[in-house]
Amino acid sequence: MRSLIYIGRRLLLLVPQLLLISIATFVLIRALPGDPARLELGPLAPQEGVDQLRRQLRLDQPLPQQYLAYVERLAQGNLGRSWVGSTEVSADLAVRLPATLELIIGGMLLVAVVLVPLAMVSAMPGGGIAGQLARKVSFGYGLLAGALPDFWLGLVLIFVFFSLLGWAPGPEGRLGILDVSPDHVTGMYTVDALIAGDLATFWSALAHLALPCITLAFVYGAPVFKMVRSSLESALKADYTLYARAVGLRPTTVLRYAMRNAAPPSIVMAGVVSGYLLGGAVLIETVFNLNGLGQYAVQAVTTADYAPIQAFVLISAVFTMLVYLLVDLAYFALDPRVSRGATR
Amino acid sequence: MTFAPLVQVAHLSKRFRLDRHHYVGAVNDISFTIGKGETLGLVGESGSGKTTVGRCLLRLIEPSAGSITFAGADLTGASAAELRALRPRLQLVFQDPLASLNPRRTIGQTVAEPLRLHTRQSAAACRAAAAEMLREVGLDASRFDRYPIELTASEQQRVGIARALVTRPDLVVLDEPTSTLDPIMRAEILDVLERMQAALGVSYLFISHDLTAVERLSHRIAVMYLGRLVEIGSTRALMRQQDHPYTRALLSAVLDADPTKPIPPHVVEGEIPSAVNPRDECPFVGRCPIHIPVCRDAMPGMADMGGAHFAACVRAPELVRGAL
Repeated sequence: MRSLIYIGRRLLLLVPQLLLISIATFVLIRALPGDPARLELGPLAPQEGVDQLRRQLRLDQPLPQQYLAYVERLAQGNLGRSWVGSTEVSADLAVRLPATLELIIGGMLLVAVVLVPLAMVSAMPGGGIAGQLARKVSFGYGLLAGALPDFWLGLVLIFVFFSLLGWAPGPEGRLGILDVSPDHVTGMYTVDALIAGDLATFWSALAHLALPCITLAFVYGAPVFKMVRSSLESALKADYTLYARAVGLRPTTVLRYAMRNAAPPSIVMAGVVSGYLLGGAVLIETVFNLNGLGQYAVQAVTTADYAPIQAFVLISAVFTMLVYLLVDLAYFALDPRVSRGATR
Repeated sequence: MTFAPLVQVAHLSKRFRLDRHHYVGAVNDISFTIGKGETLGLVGESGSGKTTVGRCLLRLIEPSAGSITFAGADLTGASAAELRALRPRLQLVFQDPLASLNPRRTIGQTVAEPLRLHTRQSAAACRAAAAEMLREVGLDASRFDRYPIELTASEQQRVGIARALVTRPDLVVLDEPTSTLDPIMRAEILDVLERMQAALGVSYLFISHDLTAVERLSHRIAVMYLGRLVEIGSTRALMRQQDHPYTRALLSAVLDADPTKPIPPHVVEGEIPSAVNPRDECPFVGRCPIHIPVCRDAMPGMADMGGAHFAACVRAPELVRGAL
């Protein structure tokens, strides 16, 4: 019951959050110099067209009405039009957003199945040769991870695995030149190819995703890795862990207790990193030519294309909000004190 | 008062290897006994190896050498399974009560856990026994479903004590249980410990650098310096007459509550030296006001000062005679 109340309250919090985000992006539009209708149509559009769009966007009405009109358009999925490409921003995003999400999800999955177990093993004392090896690898990774820029690592991986070894496809995008993209369901090619039952395309999409995801996991998994290692280390050194041994709990139970106590900060860190990556993976997207959301935003900034920028701000805010929602729910599941409001 | 022996520690040593040529001699060749229902106070400066002795006694740290006999059984050679069976009879209480409690488990869960692990009682019976033990150490039943962080430091330490005593152990290692508490809480916790010992007949190894607390709770006191035992004797005898210059210095550092008394002059300068690769000499020689060349030749053995009082000092007889 208490959990339902907590989850309900947490979900209810989304309402004011969404409201604030919409107001913020609306103010952003209004704060820009110049006329939004003119900005959307571009400098060469005739004045009549601009006036017509002004009326259509209800820009001739007072601010509250303008805001309502803006929210209405958002609700219809109308994010405006890019004047550079003359395309609907929502249509662009339908391609760009899944590309970036696929990259982030793939990269974070690698972090979860490779880096987190490595961090955990290297945090545990003993473990024989495997443990020593894990600690050596983990020490080396800890040194490198913070020092290598993502674009550089991406280029090195391309050089080694494409140019030298020929194991991976080149940086030609999300699919090979001859591959046909699968029918659009989620927009993520790996998932869509599986839905369509097209295994050849699935493998191609996966192969094209491998190096970018490895790059992302290596560079941006570092904070998660370090957090897991240090919090598990301190949990294993804590007096309550020593007590758990002294009371005669089995080693696996002792480890489970320690992991449960070490998990929350690591989950928060994973959430923060994921939220950042929606736009922060732009260099990886560029190196591997993925046409992701970060690239889209940077292009829009360099050409002063406002509608895509606004859409990007809106989407990153919503995405971050959803990631934090997940973090909170995970925290709630792991830490009984949260539901009690007992944390200090 | 004499006690039947419960724990016999013989020639216990613990070395922590640093690298190929260096090790820390945390505990060096220590022997002592603890009787049934007795409290042995273990005092010494920080870094003297007190905590290591306590943890070796519970086999939470593997001793490097020596033997520990507990209730007739050899603890040093016990297998993991044998050790697990002994766990409910050997318990410990920590210095920092909050750090010693799993932050994600309620007080009730924490105190019931040893029972659930080591008895065949039902969950309800374990809970009831835990609640009863919490009441005995002076905690209100309303605390049962609280998390450690919701309690005061004194309450947290009571939980630590209840958890240690709930399986009716024979020996509890108290590792500086009062050193993070303020004076009033300290007095409360000492009361609880004293009362529970009277009720359960449990033995304590009371590790502390708080000499007033040790004096109050202990039947006998052992003094450690740099991983070595330098003096051991009954509390009354040791408080009246110290036969080792280090014990003298340690006691002189305790200020008397009476402000009109002059501050004693016996205070030793300097800090405890490094325990890396200890030499075979008296560990106190560098700071000792009465050392002589022979002190550097070998670690002095324990000299019997009479009345079950021992001191590891070649000049102890002179010291006792008042010749120094």
